[in-house]
Amino acid sequence: MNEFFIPAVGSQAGPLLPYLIVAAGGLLVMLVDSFVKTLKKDHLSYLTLFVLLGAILVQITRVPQDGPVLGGMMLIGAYARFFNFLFLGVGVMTTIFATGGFDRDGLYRPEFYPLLLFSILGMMVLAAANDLLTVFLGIETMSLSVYVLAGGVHGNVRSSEAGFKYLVLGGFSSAFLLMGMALLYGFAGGTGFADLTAALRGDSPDITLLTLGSGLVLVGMGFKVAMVPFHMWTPDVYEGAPSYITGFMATAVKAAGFAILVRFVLLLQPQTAFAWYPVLTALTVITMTLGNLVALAQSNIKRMLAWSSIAHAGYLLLGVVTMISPAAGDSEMMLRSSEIGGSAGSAILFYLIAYTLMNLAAFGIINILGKGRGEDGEEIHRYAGLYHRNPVAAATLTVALLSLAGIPPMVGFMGKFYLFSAVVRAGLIPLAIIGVVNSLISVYYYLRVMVMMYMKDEEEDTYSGTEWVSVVTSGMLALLVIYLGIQPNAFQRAAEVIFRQITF
Amino acid sequence: MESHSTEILLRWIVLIPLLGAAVNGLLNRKLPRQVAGLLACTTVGISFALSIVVFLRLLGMEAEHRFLTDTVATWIGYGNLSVDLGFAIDPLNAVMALVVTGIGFLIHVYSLGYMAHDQGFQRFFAYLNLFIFSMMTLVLGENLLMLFVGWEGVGLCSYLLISFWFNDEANAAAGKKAFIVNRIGDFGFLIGMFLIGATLLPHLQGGEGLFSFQTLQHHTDLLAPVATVICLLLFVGATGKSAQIPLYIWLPDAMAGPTPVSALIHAATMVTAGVYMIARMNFLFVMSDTAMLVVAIVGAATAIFASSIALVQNDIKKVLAYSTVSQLGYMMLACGVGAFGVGIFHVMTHAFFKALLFLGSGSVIHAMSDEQDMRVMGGLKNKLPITYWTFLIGTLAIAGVFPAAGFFSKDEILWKAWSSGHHILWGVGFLAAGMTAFYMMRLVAMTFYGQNRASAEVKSHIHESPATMTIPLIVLAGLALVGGWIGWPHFLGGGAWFEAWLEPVFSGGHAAHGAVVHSAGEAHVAHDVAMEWTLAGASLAWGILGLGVGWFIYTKKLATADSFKKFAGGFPHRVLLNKYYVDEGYEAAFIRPGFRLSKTVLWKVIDAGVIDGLLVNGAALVVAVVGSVLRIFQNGMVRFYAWSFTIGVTVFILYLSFSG
Repeated sequence: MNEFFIPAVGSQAGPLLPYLIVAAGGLLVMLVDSFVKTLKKDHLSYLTLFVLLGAILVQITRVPQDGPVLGGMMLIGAYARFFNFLFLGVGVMTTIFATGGFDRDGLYRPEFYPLLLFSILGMMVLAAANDLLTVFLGIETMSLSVYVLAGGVHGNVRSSEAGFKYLVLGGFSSAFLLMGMALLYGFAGGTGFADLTAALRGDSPDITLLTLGSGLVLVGMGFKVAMVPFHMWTPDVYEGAPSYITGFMATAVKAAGFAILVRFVLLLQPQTAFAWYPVLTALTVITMTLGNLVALAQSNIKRMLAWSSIAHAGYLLLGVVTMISPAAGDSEMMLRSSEIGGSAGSAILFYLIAYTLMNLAAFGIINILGKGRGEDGEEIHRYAGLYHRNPVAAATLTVALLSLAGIPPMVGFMGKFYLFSAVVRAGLIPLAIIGVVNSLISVYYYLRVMVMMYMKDEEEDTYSGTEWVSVVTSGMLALLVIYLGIQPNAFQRAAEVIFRQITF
Repeated sequence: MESHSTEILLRWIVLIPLLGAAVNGLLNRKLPRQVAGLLACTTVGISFALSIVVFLRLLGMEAEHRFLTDTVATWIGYGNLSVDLGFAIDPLNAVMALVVTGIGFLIHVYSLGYMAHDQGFQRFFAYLNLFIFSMMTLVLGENLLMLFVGWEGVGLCSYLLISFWFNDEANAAAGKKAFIVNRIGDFGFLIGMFLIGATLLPHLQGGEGLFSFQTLQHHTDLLAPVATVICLLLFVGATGKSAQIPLYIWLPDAMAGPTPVSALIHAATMVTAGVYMIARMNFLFVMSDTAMLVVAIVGAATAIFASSIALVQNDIKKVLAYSTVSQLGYMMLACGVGAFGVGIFHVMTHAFFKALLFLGSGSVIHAMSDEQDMRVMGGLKNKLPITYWTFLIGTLAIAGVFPAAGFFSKDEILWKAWSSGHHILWGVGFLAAGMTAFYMMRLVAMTFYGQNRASAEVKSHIHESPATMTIPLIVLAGLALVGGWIGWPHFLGGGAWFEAWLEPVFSGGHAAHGAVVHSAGEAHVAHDVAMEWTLAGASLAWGILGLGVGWFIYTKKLATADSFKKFAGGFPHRVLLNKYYVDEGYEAAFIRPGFRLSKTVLWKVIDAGVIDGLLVNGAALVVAVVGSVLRIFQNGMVRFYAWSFTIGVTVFILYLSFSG
């Protein structure tokens, strides 16, 4: 085994160790599942957790020299590490929630564990990508696993439907992504990010190829983060997929999309910024507004959160737009611009953390309450009286929803505060106002769920058991949501430092 | 050391009720009722006691230096942006703190009796404690952002408590209405705050808290160019929370909640948050004459508009609700004419007598087996003696009869309006004062005098309320009677202590705004005192006249009231009874079109088509999974998605090619 790896990666094994652990762990889990006959149900989940925590531990203890590895294919640094922590953390939570869900439903999916690890590997590669080919490799590794995760529940038609739709449309978007990459290759004469930068700085770069190519790549990434009009799959897939996977998709997959989107947008600045800025601004506004307005009318909580996740993608895109806004890209105001771009970029990173925490907390609860309660288990009216049945679950979901709504002192408020103040700093007051109006609208549909939980009479319920591990895990996430809302500074500063690393 | 220990009390004033809320909320029905009630009352009681301690400390300090601050942590800090998580107290919010915790405590005690038989007893007290926590955050917050945190918190509690009796459709609708209307207000508030941030941030030194009131006051020169816009935006927020035209519509409906909630939140404390906010930001408001004029006009208009509606309402709580809207109008009027201190004075006296009136009405409703229609009341004077006498004191207070509390504050407001040269606004306020006296006496007469018009069944149950309810009534009646004396004006030989107490907070504002009035006023001191006497006498006489007419018509000459109903074909009466049809107008203009857009266009077209497609498929799918998958592929759904995707890409690319 070792002899095979050494010539390939050689001295680079250090920086790549977390990636190797997750990859090898995925294979190991798969093999153990196939060959160890005496396996009890929970063993695979322990093994998966072990792999994920191992990778996290290595990330913490062994900080390698930052810089490109594998001949410039990947860029190891604080930015990649930041996202690796996020993905691995979400992986841990998803494993816990999924295992809890299996226990309750009596539905065991051993393939879940290796697929989860492989999709996380894809995300990690994506966040460290320093070459268009790595980007594609990362996106596909992530997506292929998620297609199966979303669709692979045996005998569940809606899940199959979700997986199939996601697969077909995902393939469709990958085609655009590849086409864009091909055009960019034509533009730069190479696929490395360094090649792109060099070509941009060169004499008379071919702007048409650049704009078209980057536009198509943007479409592919827009699909992953659910930007309107490439969002159509989101509600169906989020609703159909099992809730633990929906939570995973809404947080980790979306964060991975933004990880590469931010890199990519900054890479091509400022040449493409002027072409992109108006159209991206329009799409951002539409994404936020459509997401929130349609969420108002939903009666299924997962579908509601799907539309809400589209709206949140809109808020995050607001940060992206601010980064490339003419004010931020104006070369005469370099000092101010880097400050604005920096505050927008770090606000995006902070918001991703906030969004991940609150969404996971919500889906953790939805996961244990949802399925196994018949056809309408995820309808909002089934949450009536939850407070009386399980106050801790109700309180957790409340905190998560309040945070999603951006109500202080939850972390969601701070996230929006940083984002909107970056927008205001860039002088884009109308955009900030649209953002504020949107977040005010959103309070309405989040609060509706809370009203159901607290104000309505209890309903007869088939499911009264409690999966305590999931509730406690979600509860801890909710506490983090409050804590980071009150003490956001350390994280905010870290986000600033991390972001600065990729801008210089 | 001693000084430090007092300051740290500020955070405990705020946090202790939160503790009560957490325990009651999480343990809920596992907690025995007595324990839950005792816990809730104790936590607020402790907050009140601590507020008194802090107040005494302030009292012992020199007038100019009455300011204590308790910084818990830095909340936001990056670059030159820094916002503290902290509390501060000065004479202005010391008054608010005492009122909120004091009245809050009394109403907690009252609720023990009022809610005794309610299913959700523990939940109710959890919300009530949570409200006190939020309100104290609003009041004691050291900066505008903390104030906003509290602002949102009290809104949430108000919403939860309005729809407390959720089985009733009307309550749920009322909660929803309060919620939506307050969103509009919050929008103004938030944008105003953003504008302040964007204006100040580039000029701040490190360590200066961005939204800290101290900093804002320090940098009024920077804010001056945008003062009008900021003030108007903040005022939009205030019109939402403090129920002013045009956003007042939620408050009358909010009375659907339990009566103690109406008394605490929708009369005595939360609704005055808008007034407090404007008083807090007085240094900004005085820089904009336009904003001040708008505040004054809206206040006066609200005062007369709401009191005219109250003239004909038959629901006892509705009358009090419109009365509250109208009194809030007076407070705004005071702020608008630059008399912030008097506005706060009226906040305080109003808290006394309006809490008293609401709790009294609660006692009546309780006795009448939950009946709220005054047309079937009457003759309760002897059956509910304590309720009756305390209610009468409240009525005298709100009517402005000397020497009850309302006389001092309301008269002072009218005098300030007159002496600052706003004679028309004075006239409007004066007229509304007479109406107030009239409708309050009408309420008393219909409820307490004459014959009881209830069914025999209800009649047999009429009883005076338990001590937990009557004792708060008596205490509040005492306050409503003598609570105004601390503002006994100079011209009546008093010391106007209340005004002097608030003087340091508003002195900056007065110096700027009052300069002209003041210099002109010097020469006319003698004339002023004579005028003050005249106006005070006139408004006292006017109030008594209103009371007298109300008493006469509704006890002796009921026919007069009936003839008004028929006057001019009954049109004026119908318009008033239906509250000028404002709700209907809003409904037609905004709400229905909005819902239509959301429900039909957005939902049906964009989303429901998808749901239907899915469900129809799902029902038909008894066949194999593979077959179903193919079916979905063929039914056009996925094809439709891919098609819209392609359109999107095409537009995107076309745009890029032409703009590039």
